[in-house]
Amino acid sequence: MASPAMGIAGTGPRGGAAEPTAPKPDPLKPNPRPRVLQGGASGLSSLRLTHPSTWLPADMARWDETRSRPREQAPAMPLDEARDLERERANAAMERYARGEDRAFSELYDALAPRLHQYLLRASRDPTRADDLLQQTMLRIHHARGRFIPGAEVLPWAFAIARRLFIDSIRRRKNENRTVSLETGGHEASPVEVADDGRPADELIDSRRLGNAIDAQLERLPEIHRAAFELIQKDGLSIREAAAVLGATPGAVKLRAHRAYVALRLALGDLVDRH
Amino acid sequence: MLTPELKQRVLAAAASEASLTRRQRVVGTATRAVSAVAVPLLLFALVGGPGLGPRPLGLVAMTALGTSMIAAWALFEAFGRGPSMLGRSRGRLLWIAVLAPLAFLIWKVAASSGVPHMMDPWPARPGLRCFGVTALLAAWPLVALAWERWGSDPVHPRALGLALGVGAGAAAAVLVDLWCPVGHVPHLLAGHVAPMLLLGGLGALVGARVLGVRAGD
Repeated sequence: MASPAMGIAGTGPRGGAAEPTAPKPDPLKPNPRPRVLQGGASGLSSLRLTHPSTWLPADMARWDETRSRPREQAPAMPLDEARDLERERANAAMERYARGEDRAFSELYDALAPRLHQYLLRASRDPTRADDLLQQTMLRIHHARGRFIPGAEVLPWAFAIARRLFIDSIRRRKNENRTVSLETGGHEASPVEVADDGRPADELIDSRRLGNAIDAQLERLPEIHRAAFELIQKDGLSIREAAAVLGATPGAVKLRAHRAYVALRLALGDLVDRH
Repeated sequence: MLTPELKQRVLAAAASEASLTRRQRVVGTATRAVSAVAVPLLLFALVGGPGLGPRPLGLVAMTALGTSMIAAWALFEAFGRGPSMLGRSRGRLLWIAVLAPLAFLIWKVAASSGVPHMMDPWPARPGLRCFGVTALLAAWPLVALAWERWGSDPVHPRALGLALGVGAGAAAAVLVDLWCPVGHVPHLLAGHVAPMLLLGGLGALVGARVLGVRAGD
């Protein structure tokens, strides 16, 4: 998603002129270059879909750090490295928890909860449901600790559990004659805080509109395309991990995510160009 | 938004619900594994145990070796999860359900065709007894496998159930092959292959309920 606080990758945080020769990033990689906080290639092809609502604690910490610096001196900060660190933290905490170290569960929660909650909030559009589903997900992990495979990755497993619980909750609610749509919850979008980075209000509003436009366009996509795209782009999973979560092959997931990307580009190219 | 209260709520919920560590699960897992082997062997002895019939010992040994390897492969692929907590892919699990019965049939026919009269029809043995004995011997191992993987698959529990059912059926087919001298293809299909598929279907049916991750469990 566009990053209203950090600017869209390719135009600089203040919407300045883009460098003309930066290479086109691969949108199917979890963190396509150029990295956030620095200008690079222009156009939707380099759009880093990182709405502040999707930021992780590491992102917020880095943003706080860069706010105190002049923008032209802000260094490139690879968010994928931050996410890799969190992934390793989660794996280490889960391994310790599986062995019997109970206090590791708190660390595991700290490592997993932000991304899981972000995913569940985006899917359900209901903070209360997101909280409940997060609790259920963590409890499933808690109950399964004795079966945790040494060296296995926690993150895709946690995402798969969260997704399954969410889908299951949707199906149960359908029995209550409530009309909901898969992955959207059918609720009014809850207000999501957007980081106020001190930019002019109209710039923030425009960026927020772009974020909303992207969200709206994503909702028009078939669920299988949207799910693949969001797991890779927003949740930072690799293609292989997203495939495992969705129960599909990596090739299928890559194709679905690409189709979603193409649809977004076709629909939002002009909007991005204006920004 | 994530709040400290939510974290405390989650931590408190986890603290109030017991969960076994890896070491604590070893005893239960070992017990189920031993029973999954012991119970079918006991039942097999009760139904009469191995019966060579007119088969030469070499043929029995060859078919037993081949079916054992097929069953071991099917169980390993079905039950094992590799390096991922999400287990084998759906395609791979479905492949087990297709290959294991097919491999059993091909191996049995290939081995029997080399010995005179081993593939002659047996009118008195259409395959119903073999079907029943296979299902009987596979029942407890399937329960034990499902128990071990209870609520563990958030992605494809039906496919997992299918593969576990076929794997348990293939393991039972090893014992039944020691007992049954018939190599006639219709008999093999009805009495040896069909129960594997039936058990696979049963596993798939209950898989979503038993093996899947469900809200409210």
